[in-house]
Amino acid sequence: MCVFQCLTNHRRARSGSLLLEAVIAIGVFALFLGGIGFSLILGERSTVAGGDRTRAVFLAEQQLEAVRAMRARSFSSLTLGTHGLALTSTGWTFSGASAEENGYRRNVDIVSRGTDWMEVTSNVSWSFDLPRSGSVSLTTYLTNWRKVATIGNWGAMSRIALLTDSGTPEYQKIAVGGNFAYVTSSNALGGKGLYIFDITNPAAPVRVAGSFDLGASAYGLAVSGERLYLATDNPSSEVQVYDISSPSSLAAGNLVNSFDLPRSGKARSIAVYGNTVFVGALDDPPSNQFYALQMSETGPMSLLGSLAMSGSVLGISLQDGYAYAAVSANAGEFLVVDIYDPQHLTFAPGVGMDLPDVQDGTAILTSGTAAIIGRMNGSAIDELIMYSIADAPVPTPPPGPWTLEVGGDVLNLSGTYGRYTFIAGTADAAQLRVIDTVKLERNEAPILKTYDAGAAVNGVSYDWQHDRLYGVTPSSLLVFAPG
Amino acid sequence: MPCSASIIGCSKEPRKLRRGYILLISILVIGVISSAILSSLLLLGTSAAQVSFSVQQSNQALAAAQACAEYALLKLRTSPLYAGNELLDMNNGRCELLQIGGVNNTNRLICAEGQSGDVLRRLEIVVKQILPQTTISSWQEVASFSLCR
Repeated sequence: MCVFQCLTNHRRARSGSLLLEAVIAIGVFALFLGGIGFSLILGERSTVAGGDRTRAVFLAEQQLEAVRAMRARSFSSLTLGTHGLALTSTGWTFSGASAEENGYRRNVDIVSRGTDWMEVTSNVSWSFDLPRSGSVSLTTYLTNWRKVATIGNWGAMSRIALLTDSGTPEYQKIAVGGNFAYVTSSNALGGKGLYIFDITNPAAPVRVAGSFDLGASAYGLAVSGERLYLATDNPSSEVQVYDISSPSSLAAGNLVNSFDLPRSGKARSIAVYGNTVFVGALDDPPSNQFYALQMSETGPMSLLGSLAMSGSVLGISLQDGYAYAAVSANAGEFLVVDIYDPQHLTFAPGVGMDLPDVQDGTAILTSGTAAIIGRMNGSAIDELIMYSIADAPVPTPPPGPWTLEVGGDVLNLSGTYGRYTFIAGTADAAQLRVIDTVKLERNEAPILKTYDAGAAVNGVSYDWQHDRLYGVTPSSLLVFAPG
Repeated sequence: MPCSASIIGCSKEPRKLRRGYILLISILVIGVISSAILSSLLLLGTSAAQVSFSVQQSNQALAAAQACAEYALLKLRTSPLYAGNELLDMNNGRCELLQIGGVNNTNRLICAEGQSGDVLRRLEIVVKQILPQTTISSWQEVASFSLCR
């Protein structure tokens, strides 16, 4: 009896539970199944959509590279508008307004942003079905920086302008930056220390910022960006840096930084690499003669390192991590400094060259694989010497050196990119010379042109942007053009 | 005979209850595994979408950095005074030029940084000479700039 009742009650309860369990189980299972199915579909769609986009990005990148390849062949082949691209036997070319590949439609938009300057947008779009559609765009600029600039025939050089100051400015050195020429001067006879000329029209230079007075003599100078670096004899701030964003209105307030070298007023030469300023000073033991300074726009300039050179450093030229110095030392007129770490300046292996006799090294120019040093006049020496620095920073002749008798002091050197070198100095009736360094290297007659300035040409600067040459005598600014 | 004393009727209940637990535990285990698979699938799909978007932004940032490099090379040819320190906005990104290193015609340094979204790509370029024809010593992508300060 009890057993029967017990079984009957249990069976009734079980039959209800079974139904409920079954319904819940089916519901839960359906939910899981639906969730998994939904996740599968969603995950698969996301993965496929991601793949679509990734592929589109690479196709867009391929298009940009294709346009770059066309630019490398000829910048003029980049015509404005919307183009498709096709790969032919001669390379990529524009073809139609768009191209389609495996469902991806692609084109490039080319818009001019200025002379030799294009904005290129690579577009790729796709629409396989409703959830699988999209577009990708990559934008870049392409410019004609590969074009070859032409240089005139400097063997037929002619003077196109002469601007003489009525006073005694005692011009020293010159540097060109943009449409302005900056000229340092001695103030011993009333010079202003710095003169600025507007050379927008090189044939008619105009002096600007006429009221500016540096209050000291300035010698070497360098233009970098919107900063003018001066080596002066100011006793308490030999190195001065001016903001030349508005050269026509330069004033004392444009002094952005300065540095007081050891001793007093000894800075003579200067070169700039990035924010590092290299300064050469007159020999005044026990102080060193070569300094590396850190330029700062927000704080004072700081000393990074210095090096003793046993003579006055009258010229500095920078090339490939080395500073080449023209020095007055009798036993080493041409020295090479490793400036890779300006805080630990050291001489390059081999140190430099001890040139014949004792005449000072006064000017130096590095160009390509050549280092050219100029010296004071000497009866037993050639005042211009060219070394090869192709194999090592410190020359190890042969080959070279190649020399040229100048017949006077060499005071400054400048050059085009490779072939022509301009020699400024004191040689009678030939204070400015144009020489061909290729001919010098071949032991052929290298002098292409001489110019009688009637006075020493103290400084010379080649304007590589406009293919013009600027020189200064103590009182005149000279402008030359090639033939 | 009391029910509790019934051996036939009540002695089988624990065994049935254990069967119920096994079913429940099995469902729970399967549910957890299914949830994990479900989450993984969702995350994989989301990740694939995120990766493709990052690839897109990365390429846009590189294109922007290359734009700045091209712009700087052109500016150097036309203006030796060009100092960099410029921000250029484009349709699909922006780029910044750091201060151009060096002086005159040789050994100039260009550092360009392109940005799209949160992605940055950086280029360091050493220009051997600018004129008469610009030649490049090195053009490389870097994680952080070392030539420009």
